[in-house]
Amino acid sequence: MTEVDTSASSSDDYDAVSSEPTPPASRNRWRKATLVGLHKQSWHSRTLALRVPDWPGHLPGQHVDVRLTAADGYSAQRSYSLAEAASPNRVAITVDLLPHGEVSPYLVEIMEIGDELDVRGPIGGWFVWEPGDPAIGEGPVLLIAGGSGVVPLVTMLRARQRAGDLTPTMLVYSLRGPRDLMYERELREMSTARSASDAASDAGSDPTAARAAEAVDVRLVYTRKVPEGHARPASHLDIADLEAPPTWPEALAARVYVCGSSGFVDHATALLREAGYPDDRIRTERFGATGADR
Amino acid sequence: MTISRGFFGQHDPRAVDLPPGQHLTHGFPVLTAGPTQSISTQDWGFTITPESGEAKRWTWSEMMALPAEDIEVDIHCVTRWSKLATRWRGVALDTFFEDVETYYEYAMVHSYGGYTTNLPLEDLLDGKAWVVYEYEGDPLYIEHGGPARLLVPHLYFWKSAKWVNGITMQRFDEPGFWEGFGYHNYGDPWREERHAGD
Repeated sequence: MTEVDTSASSSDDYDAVSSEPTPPASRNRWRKATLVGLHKQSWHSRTLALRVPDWPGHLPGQHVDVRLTAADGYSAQRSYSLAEAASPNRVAITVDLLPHGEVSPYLVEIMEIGDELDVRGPIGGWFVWEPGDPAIGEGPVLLIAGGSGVVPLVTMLRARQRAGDLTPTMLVYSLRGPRDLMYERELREMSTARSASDAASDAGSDPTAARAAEAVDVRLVYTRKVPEGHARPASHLDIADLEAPPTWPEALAARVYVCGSSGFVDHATALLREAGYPDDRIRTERFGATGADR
Repeated sequence: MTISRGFFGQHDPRAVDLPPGQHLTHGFPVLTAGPTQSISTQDWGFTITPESGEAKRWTWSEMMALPAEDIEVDIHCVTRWSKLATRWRGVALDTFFEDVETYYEYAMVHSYGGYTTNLPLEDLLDGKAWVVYEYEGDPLYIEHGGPARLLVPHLYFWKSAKWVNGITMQRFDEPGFWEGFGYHNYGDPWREERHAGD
């Protein structure tokens, strides 16, 4: 299998694509997509970059419908979060392998460069954030991810980086263990200036200070197994993990995005309420079923 | 239609009766725009407000005194899962509307937490919709809309509002929550009306 690095930074050279609302006729049409890049994200997930001529562009957090068709005409459709900020003629998704799934094993293990499928979109307008959103204003923005729920949130962070947006932003990313970590290098790079944040207040035009303001506060919450040197012991997401950075003036005014399994989202939103965040600041996106056929 | 080399799929023989683009699930996925709402049956109420402004309200115990029905239906979520032969218990909207006089043709359904969804009134009547409070013989779990949700199984499931608390009758049709974010205004799964313009 050909492995091509399509990780985020390589897409940052593209011009921003207009975020004007897409006419329904264009958005609803199926388009042929060709796999042009593969990038392993964790032991059970990978990012697929697809060339899609005339893709109408999208907002961070939106979805794309994917349709696979077998030679006998049988087809299966799924919806995935878009994994990159908009770039011309290009769509990327990050797919987590579901052991007995029908579509994810094909996307994660079988599909090769040059293979084709159909896509349609973009879909959805609620769970989105783009830099400059007037409803967010000065921010801050709190992003909370459970497992592969990190995908649309990283897309938001990439758009923020690309725009040089300075909205104070924190990502709290809950995952089982080190081998489940997606976007490792990129998240490290996004947060590198964090240690310099103390310098931000008194440094004026100091480039270090600008870098600090761009930095995203990234907190990794390992629930089962921690990598060596990680200070926080393994445990489920706790209210202390959601505590806002001291530099945030009005933490409870933050726009909050929570994405993960239904159980994770319920757990995280309960903690947010306990911390005092009002419901109308919290946007959620869930995937997967609740347990035991309920 | 593009053939994907190496894709065979899992042809589920039970899937033949599904609406286009749907697949079967054996779990029960959740689609909610915000936090799960927690309402006690003591505080719960269901209100229908017609054009006269004279709202008719039912408390939990008043709803329990209404004739209940057992319902077995297939449900279809716009996020592409379908679930067959789900069993519910609840009160038909016909029963609630017996006490309400309205000439308006459009309904806006409201939920605790602020969610809304719009439907033509005719899609709520004639045994097509219920307020349900049991699922598979148990009280409805809150993550699935308990203590009570709307059930409109012939439309995509976002129309079956969780934590339902009322209906406002309207002269004109207006978009509800998801309908305002690009979902289809009507949402017939058999015509695959997922998004505006489908």
